[in-house]
Amino acid sequence: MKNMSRHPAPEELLLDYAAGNLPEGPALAVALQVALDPGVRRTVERLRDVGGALLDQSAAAALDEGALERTLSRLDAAPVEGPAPPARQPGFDWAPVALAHYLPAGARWKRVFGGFEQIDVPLRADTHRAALLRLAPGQGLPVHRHVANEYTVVLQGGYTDNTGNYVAGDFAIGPGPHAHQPIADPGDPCIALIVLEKPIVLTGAAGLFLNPLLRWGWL
Amino acid sequence: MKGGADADSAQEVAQEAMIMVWRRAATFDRTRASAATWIYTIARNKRIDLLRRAGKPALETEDWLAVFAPEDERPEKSILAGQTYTRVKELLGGLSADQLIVIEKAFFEDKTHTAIAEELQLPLGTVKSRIRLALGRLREALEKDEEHEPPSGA
Repeated sequence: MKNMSRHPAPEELLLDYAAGNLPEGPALAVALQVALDPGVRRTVERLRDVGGALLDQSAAAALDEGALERTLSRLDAAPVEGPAPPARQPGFDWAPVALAHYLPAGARWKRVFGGFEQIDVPLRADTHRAALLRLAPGQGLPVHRHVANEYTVVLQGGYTDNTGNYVAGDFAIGPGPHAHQPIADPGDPCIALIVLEKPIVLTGAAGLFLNPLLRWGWL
Repeated sequence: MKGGADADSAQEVAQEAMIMVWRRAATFDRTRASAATWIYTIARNKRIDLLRRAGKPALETEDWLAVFAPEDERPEKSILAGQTYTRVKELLGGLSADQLIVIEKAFFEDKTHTAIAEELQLPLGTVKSRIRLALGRLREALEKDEEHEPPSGA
């Protein structure tokens, strides 16, 4: 099967996603892998079939009297077409549609401590933070370990750390047991969406001055 | 589907889902999904939307619809969508009670696998392996079916 990811999101996470139970941040990360990976998309489609089948088999619940009438009276006001998909911003042709909804108008890469570039991705929910990171080929992130769940989807290029090689469409979930140091592969710059449940903690000397910044949400 | 919502919210979701079904009827593609799957997805998205308005985290309904619009077409597979749904229905009956209860709680009680493990007082690993076993069985059976399908157009 073409383009099947070597690093799909775990199936329990896909079930949470397909049933609509994931918080916004992780849901966005899974949505991007669904957009990029036909194999993961098929699994989610199967899970939707499961949802449909369970709905079909479940006992019907009665609606209020008048529900049909109220619904019909609202139909006239309902537009037939949904809103147009957001226009793709120049320079963001690697962004799947679901991400384009989240990109602030005129989004620009900002250089951050550590030499990589970042765009904050605003979420409505405050349980997670999301950001796009861009690393030049050969460039690494400071060694860090995760204290809470972290979800990564690669959108362009790739990176390698002690757990393996991740390319566009791949999904990684932390925390792993070890501190890791991702390094961008040769070729196109590596662009990834990172969704963090809580701040990460850097190990090593850089952490001494970077951790306070992380806690304040600078990274 | 009703889980996590009070009676009024459930009525609201049902009405909004019916309106959406009306609005989007022209875009329904039965080669891609069965009607039940399609309506399930719409109702689920409407529920997420309602939770969001109540200040809970969720993606926009329209985002989800965009998510489900595949970015590359695989017509040879989508012909099978309706048949897959019928088969999934049969296969659900073949899952063990342990596996089925986890899947049902996800869809009907809106619980994440972590919350299901807490509620059933099971180790997280046990819940994960039940989900993976259940999905593995579905995948295996469906792929076997596809092997026996004549190639499309033949």
